[in-house]
Amino acid sequence: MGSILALVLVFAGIVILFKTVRMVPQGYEWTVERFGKYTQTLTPGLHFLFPIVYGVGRKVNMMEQVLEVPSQDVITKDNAVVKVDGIVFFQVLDAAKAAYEVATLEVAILNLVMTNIRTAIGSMDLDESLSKRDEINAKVLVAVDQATHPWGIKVNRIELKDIAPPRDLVESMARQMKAEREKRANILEAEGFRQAAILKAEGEKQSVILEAEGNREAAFRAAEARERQAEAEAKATQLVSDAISSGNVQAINYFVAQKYIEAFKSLAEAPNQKFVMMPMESAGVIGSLAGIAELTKETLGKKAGG
Amino acid sequence: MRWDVFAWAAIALLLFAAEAMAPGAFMLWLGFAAVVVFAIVLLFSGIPVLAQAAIFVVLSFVSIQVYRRWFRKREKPSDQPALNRRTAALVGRVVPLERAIVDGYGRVQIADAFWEVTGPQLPAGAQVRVTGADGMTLRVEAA
Repeated sequence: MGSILALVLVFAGIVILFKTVRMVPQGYEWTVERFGKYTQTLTPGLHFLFPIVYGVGRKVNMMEQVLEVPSQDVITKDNAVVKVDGIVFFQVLDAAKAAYEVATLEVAILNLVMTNIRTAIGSMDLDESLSKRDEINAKVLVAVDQATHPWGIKVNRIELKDIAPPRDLVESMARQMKAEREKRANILEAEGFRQAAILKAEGEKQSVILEAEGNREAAFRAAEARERQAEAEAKATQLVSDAISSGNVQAINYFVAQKYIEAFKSLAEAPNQKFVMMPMESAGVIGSLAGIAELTKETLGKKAGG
Repeated sequence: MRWDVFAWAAIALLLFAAEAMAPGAFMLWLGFAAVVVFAIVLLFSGIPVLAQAAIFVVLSFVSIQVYRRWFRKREKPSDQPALNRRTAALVGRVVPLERAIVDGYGRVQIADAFWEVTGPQLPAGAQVRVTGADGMTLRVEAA
């Protein structure tokens, strides 16, 4: 009888001791309740609680924790449906608030994050939401952080892991990109051809201009030559005319006769010329020969007379 | 040889072993209580079992109180006092204000997280030093 009582006593004593001496591990904080009402928070280490009156309420994890945000369908501003998932890093800073201000902390955080992601992406076009991920992260982080302050937690980081547009949209985006590249290629090619044609035409123009310029120069020079020739002829004529005016008109007949004889001589010397046609006016020329004779006679006569 | 002497010796050893297996710093003190009961039982024969148990329970509480009063004062302080206390770890940091302090409240960014700060009126971009924290809000002063 006594030994049973002793066993019960030892057992009760050990149980009460276990309830009195509480060791809070590092990384956790325990809330203490006095008859069910929160009184204080136990930090890591060994603590003594007055048995039965005080009890441990919640054991709160004070380490930074990671929550997976499950994939959800979000509609962008331009009505594309994208699948979005992410991760949230949060840490409890106030164990009592985290324990008693919110019923299921993780569910509450997840729902807040999900609705805020929907809000942030819903205000953006698909292209924007794909390229401005950092902006979305920051936006959601600020909103969620502020909303969770009353729960004694700090949301340190929210990261969208994947923003996936539907498959057909991805395909058409790829097609669009390809078309864009092809367009650029075609434009570049056309520009190349245009440039080449322009260069070629310019070359041709240049060559034509140069040629024309050459011709012009040549014409100028030819004209100049003719002018000079005419001048010379005029001068020669002048000289002859002067000579005639100061001498006898018959003198001219001398030149004509000389030229005629020369021409006749070359005609006669030509190898295949057996047959000579006499000009119709040869009689005139002969006449001029007579003139020469007369001229000579006159000159000689003058000399003799003088 | 009496069985109760052996029993208390065994209980004491078991408690020491338990402390060694799962250190919680209080099985040890139960063990010391068991050692004292063992000594008493060894010296004075004829103590009723119920009285032995009562002595053990009382001594257990006493030994833990002794530990609490006496030895805890000599405990080595942690070399990481700010472990798991994020706001305490931020004290002394100098950071630029992300949002101006207007009506006592502004915002800074430390690592990826945004912290609400309270302090004197300062424009955005001004350097501030964290001096402490009120719950989730950091106290800052111009640095």
